[in-house]
Amino acid sequence: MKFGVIVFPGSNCDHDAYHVISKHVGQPVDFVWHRETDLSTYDAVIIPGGFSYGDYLRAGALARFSPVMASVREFADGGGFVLGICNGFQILCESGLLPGALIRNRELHFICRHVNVRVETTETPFTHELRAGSVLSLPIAHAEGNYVCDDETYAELAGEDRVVFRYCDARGELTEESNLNGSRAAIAGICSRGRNVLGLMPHPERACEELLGSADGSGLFRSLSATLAALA
Amino acid sequence: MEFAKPLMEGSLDEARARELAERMGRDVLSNPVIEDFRVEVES
Repeated sequence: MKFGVIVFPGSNCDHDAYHVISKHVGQPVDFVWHRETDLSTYDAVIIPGGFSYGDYLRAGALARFSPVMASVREFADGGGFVLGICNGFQILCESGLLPGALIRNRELHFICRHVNVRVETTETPFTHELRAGSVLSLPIAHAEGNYVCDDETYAELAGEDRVVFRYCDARGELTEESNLNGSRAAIAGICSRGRNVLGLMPHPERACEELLGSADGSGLFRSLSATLAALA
Repeated sequence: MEFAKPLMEGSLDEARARELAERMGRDVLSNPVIEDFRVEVES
């Protein structure tokens, strides 16, 4: 089982992702510079958070033209597992690997704090070891995390059980106050139709040690690791 | 609203310049999920 962490100019959560895979998941992991095009040795790739290309044009808009993204698309089309976190989620949407888009937060502020997210489905390779309806405390740090999509896309996401996480309060209730960035239907994370591509705005890789305020993110990596182990 | 002013050099007629600018808007600059764009050509 081998992981790749894609690195763009401006990525800044790549080392966090690398740390979690190497120290907590305990599996081999490489940094993959964005000019690379060979992902054939990896079982899963992580597109980490940060400010790829300085967020010029739009967050994630320029990263989609990096050479590695054509390979990520091919990798995903072949069933490979792709996890996009924060800027990685924005890149996946800009690339068309996930539907919808992420626009400025409702109040236009950069928000950096822990939030609660509810696990909406465990029918993914990334969440099958979690409990549906459970509440995770995960950090967010973004200015463009307000998920938008048209009615048709939302109906498709909801109908196909592809909304994976929603912002909620500590009891798991969906409230206006807990949906800090104003995302449609409080969406914090979605998966692809094939369920092998997950994008989410919260940072599970920053929540795998109690020392950091929460270890709730570890279940996501545990799930992915178990998925890969079962396929090996 | 955002503006981009690409400068096209060489012997391009207006139709060709518009075609290139529209392609740039469609394939590179805009996200059709959230944005629309309009092209104006000046010579």
